[in-house]
Amino acid sequence: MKKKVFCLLLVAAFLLSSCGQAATPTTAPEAKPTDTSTAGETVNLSYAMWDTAQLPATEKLISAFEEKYPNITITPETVPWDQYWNKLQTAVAGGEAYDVFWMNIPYFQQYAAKNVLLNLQPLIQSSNYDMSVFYPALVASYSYENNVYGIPRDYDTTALFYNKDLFDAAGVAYPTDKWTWDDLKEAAKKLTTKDTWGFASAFGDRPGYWDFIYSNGGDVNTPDGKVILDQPAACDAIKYYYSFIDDGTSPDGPTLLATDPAETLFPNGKVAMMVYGSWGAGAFAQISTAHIDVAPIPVGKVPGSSMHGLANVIWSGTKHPDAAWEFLKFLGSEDAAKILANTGTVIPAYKGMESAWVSAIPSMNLKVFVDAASYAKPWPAVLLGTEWETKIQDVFKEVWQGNRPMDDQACAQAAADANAVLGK
Amino acid sequence: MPFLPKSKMARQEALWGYALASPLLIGCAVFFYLGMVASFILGFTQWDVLTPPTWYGLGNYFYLFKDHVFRMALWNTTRYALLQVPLSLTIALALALALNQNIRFRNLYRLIYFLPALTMPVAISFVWKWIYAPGYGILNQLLSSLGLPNVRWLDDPHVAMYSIIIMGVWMSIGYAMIIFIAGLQNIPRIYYEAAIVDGANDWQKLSHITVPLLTPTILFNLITSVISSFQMFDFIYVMTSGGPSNSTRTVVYSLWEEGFRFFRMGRATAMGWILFMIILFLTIFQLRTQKRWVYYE
Repeated sequence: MKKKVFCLLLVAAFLLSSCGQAATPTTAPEAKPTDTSTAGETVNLSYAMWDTAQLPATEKLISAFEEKYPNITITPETVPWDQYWNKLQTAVAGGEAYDVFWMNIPYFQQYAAKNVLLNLQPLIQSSNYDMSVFYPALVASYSYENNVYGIPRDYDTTALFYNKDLFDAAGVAYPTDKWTWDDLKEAAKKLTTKDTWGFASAFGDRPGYWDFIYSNGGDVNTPDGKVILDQPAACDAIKYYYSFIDDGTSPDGPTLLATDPAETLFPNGKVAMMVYGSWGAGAFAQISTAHIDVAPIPVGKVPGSSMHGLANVIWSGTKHPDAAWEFLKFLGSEDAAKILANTGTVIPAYKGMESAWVSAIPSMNLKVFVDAASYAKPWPAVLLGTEWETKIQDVFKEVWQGNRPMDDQACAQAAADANAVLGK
Repeated sequence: MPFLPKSKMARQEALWGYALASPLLIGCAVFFYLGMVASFILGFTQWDVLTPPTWYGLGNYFYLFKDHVFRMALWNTTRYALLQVPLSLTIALALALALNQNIRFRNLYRLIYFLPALTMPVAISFVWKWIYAPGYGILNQLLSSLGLPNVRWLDDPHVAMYSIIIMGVWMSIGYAMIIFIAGLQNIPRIYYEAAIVDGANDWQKLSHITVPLLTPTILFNLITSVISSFQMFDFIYVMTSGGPSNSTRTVVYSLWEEGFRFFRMGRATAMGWILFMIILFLTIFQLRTQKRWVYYE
C-alpha cells in the first residue's frame, strides 16, 4: 500500500510536468502560414524593437496605421538591446514569437536561413510593392537567396566628427571633403597638445577600422563570405588607424578600451576628432561646452564609409500574415518615413526623405551622412552572424591592449580565425 | 521513507503532508529535475534554438575534450578557485574571530564586511572596472602618487586573473564570515574556561579548541565556496570578456558565449554537465574525506 501511493504520487507529478511541455522544442514553422483572421475581426499584432529612444516615433507610426486600419491593433514591445536576441531566440523556440519585429544585418542571414522570417517576395510581387524607393544596398542586405525578407526601415553611415573649438584654438582649418589621410595625420599632430589629443582611434570595427578599410579601397570580405583582412588594402588601413596611438596623437589603447571616447573624451573636449555614426549626431549636438561638426571620412584611395540599417520583418509563424504585411507596407511607406524623419533620430531608408533629418540640426553639416550613403559599403552579410566578428575583435583587442603589435601577423591571425569559424 | 502509515489518523496526517508539499514537489519536478533531464539530453544534440535539435551523440563532448580554449577555461576556473577559496576563507575566519569579540561598533563592522555579498555582481563589476581603469583609475592613481609604475590590471594577461581573484575574495568574505561567527558562537564556553585553568595561551586556545570545533563550519564554507567559485561568470562578462588572451576565460563564460552568442546550445549544455561533474566530484571528495579532519561534538 505504501509503495502504491508513492508511485501514484510520482506518476501524478510527472503527468503534470509533462503537460507543461516545458522543454519540448517546436518544429520549425512552415514557410507560408494561413491567415486565421477573417474580415472585420480585430487583429492584434505584437511589434518588438530595442531602442527606447525611438518609442515615441514608433507610437506615432502605430496610431497613424491604426487610423487607416481600425481593425488591426499593434502592441509595441521594447526589449533592451542586451536581451533582445536572447528573448527572440527563446520566443521562437517556444513557438510564440512577435508578429513583427526589428532585424539588423548581422543576425539577418541566420534568421532567414532557419525559416524564422516570412518570405516577403511573393507578397511584394502580388501587391506590386515598389522596392526601388529603398537604397539597393539595404534591400540586398535583407535578401536571402534572391528573396526579400525585410523592409528597410532606416540607415546610418559614418563620418568624421570634429570639435570646432579645438580647431580654432590650434589655428587649424576645418576638415573638408577633400581631406586625405595625410591631411588627417597632419591636423591630428597640430591638434595634440599637453591636454588634448588630435584623434581618437576608438576600438571597434564599425565605427572604426572598417571605415578606413573602405576608404583605402579595400574590403572586409569577398562576396562569397571569405574574410580578407590579411590583404594589404585592409591591413594597411588598420595599421594607419592604429598609428595615431603609436605617435601619441590619440589616447592609448587601454584607455580607449576602458571607456567609450564618444561618451567621455570627445564630449569633454579632450579629443579633437573621431569617426562615429550618424546616430550620435543628436547627442553631440546637445553638448553645451563644445561646437561639434562633421565632415566626410578623409579619403585614402576612395571616399569611404560604412552603412548599416534596420529592417522590419515578419515572423514566419505569425497567425496573421496578411495583417502583418499591411503593417509592414505602411512602415515602409512615404508617410511613415516622414514621421520617422521628423523625430530626428534616424535617417529613413526611403530615398529622398532625408531632408527632414538633415535640417533637424542646423549647426551640423548632416548632409555628409546622406552623401556617404551613395558610396558607403553595407555591413558584410555572412551566415554565422556574430561569431566571426567576435574572433576578429578578440585579435585586435589584444593589439589595443598592448599585448601584441599591430602588424601583418595580427591581420593574418584575425582573418584566419574568422575564416575558420565561417568554414572557409 | 515515510509512506502512508497504517493507522487511520496517522494516514490522514500523512496525506495532508503530501498534499501540502505537492506544489513544491511538482514545481521542483517541472522546473528543476525535468530541466536537468532535458539539458542532459541536449548535451548530446546540436541545437541552435531556432530549429529543432539534431542528434549528435558524444560529438560535443569529444569536441570539448580536444578544444584547447575549453581546456584553458577549465584551467582558469581551477586557478581562480585554488586561490580565491583559501584566501577568502582565511580572511573570513580572521575577521570572524575579530568580530566575535565584544568591541564597539561590532555590528557596524559586520554589516560593512557583509555588504559586498549582498551587492549585485554586475554593480560590483562596474565599480571595480573604474577602480582598475588605466590612467584615471583609483588604483593606478594611487600607484602614480607613490611614484610606482601603473599596473595594467585588466589588460595584462599575467595580471588580469589576479585582479578578478581580488574582487572575488572581497565579495565572498562577508558571507563566509557570517557563517564562521555563527560557528564560533556554537562553541561551548566551558572548553575555553577549562583551557584557561590549564594555562593555555591565545594561540593554543585557537589551535586546540576553536579551529577543531569549527571544522564542521569550515567544511560547510569550503564546499559552498568551491561550488560558487567554479561558477565565476558575472565579473568576466562585464569586465574582460574572457580576455586578455583568454587568461580570464572561465567555463561558465564559455558556456554563455557558446549558447547565447553563437547559438550552439548543445555544446553549451555539454559544458554545463562537464562543470557539474567536476563540482560534484569535488563535493563528494570533500564529504568523503571529512572524517579525517572534521570533529563533531
